Amino acid sequence: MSMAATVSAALSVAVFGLLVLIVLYVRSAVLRESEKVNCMRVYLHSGVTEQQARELQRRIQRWVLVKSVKFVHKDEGLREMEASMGNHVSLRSLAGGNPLPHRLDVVAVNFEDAIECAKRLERLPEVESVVCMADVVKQLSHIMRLVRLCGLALVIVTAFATLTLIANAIRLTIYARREAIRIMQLVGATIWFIRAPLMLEGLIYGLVGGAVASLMVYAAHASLLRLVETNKVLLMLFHVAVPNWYFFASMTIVGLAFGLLGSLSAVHQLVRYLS
Amino acid sequence: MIQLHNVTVKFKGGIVALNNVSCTINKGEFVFIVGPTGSGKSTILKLINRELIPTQGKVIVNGINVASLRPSQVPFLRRSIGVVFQDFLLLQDKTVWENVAFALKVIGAPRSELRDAVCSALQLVGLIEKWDAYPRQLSGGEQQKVCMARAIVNNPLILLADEPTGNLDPDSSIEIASLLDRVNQRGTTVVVATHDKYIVDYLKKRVIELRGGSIVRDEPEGVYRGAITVR
Repeated sequence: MSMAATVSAALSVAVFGLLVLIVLYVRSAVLRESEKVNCMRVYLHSGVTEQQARELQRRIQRWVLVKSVKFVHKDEGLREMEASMGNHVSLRSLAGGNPLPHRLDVVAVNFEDAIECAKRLERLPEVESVVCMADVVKQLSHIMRLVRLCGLALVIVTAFATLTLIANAIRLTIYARREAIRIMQLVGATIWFIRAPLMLEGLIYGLVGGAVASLMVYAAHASLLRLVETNKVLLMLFHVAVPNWYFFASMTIVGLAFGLLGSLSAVHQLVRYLS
Repeated sequence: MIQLHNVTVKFKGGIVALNNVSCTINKGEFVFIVGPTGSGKSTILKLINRELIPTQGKVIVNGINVASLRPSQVPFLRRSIGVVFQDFLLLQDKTVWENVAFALKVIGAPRSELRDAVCSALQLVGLIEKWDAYPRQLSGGEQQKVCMARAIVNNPLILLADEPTGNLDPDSSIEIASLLDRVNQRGTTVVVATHDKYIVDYLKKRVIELRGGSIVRDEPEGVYRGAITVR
């Protein structure tokens, strides 16, 4: 019976841990992609001088939403454009001069801030236009929200299942020991004397279950890491978030908490009966 | 020592277990509570041990109104009361010694006292030589003696026995009755709920007879069937 409760707790906490890990993985992958989309090209008016542009760069750098700002001289911008066309065309000679304005490449702190950042940039008088991948940013935001919500819902369900399993294991223990408990009650054992071993049992189920779950999740994570590192395609697609030892230690604590809450729930009924 | 003042006990569904019962049991007395099944014998014992609370009236044990005790105080009342049951309630996976010692361990008795107390209790009931036997290796009478040893090991003020000879043959019943008498002679107040005619007539102690939840007879040195005095 104790083995069943421990295994149940281990599986439940492992599922809980795996869900958290999956949320971390998805978040990591989304954030990695989002680094490409939280960058904006801010084209300035053609009358803006280099000095004014650099002054604007310093102002924007101080914004909370902004991670970095790079000034791109119009000549450098022209060279980039010609390079993207394979250097087969001289745009300067075609246009009779450099048609491009100075540019600022702004990187927002995260993709969720990129849209707000773009709106603020567009309102600046020096700015002619802002180019950012708003649609992609919106979709990524939506995905992250969905992942968080689903993850939270699944975590709540598994947490409830774990608590129920542990509480039931304790109740079974109470039932199996009902004669001993009855005798303890009759000879004058205090409620805590009767309750404490049962709560300790629940704590142990949770602690051992949490520790086993930590090992299981660590093994799963290590396997995934090995798989991704040896597969070029997966390496391009995935950036496997590496949880630190706090994560695995916290799983053990989560197991302990489940054990405590589960046993409290079961023992509470016993206390009412004994009273 | 034990006083019942106008005690009524009603259960759900309107069942009246005791109806306006009053009696006093003095310190050191030996009392049989007799009557047919359902007359309220066990109910009186449960009231004394605070397993039940009266619907009306008061139950005073050793000067304490048991109904007024908080749940946290009840264990301390029960440490002064030993209980013996018809179905023994022994722990099958523990030896005779461990079963008797259990009563002291759960109340936190020091180890130094435990050994002597258990020895003394087993000697009183005559089972010291079977200290390492398991309940399944004992006869019914011996198992009941182990229960008695457990009930008296911490020198309770009161010993309650609910049908202690219910599962025993007549010879074993007399043995148990004699043991109860010996415990009483050491100063413990003994209250026995029974419908075992043999032990009641054998010991000739005070008899309180119940019928339909009311006391119909209360005789010193009574027998199982005596003249019914209508109260």
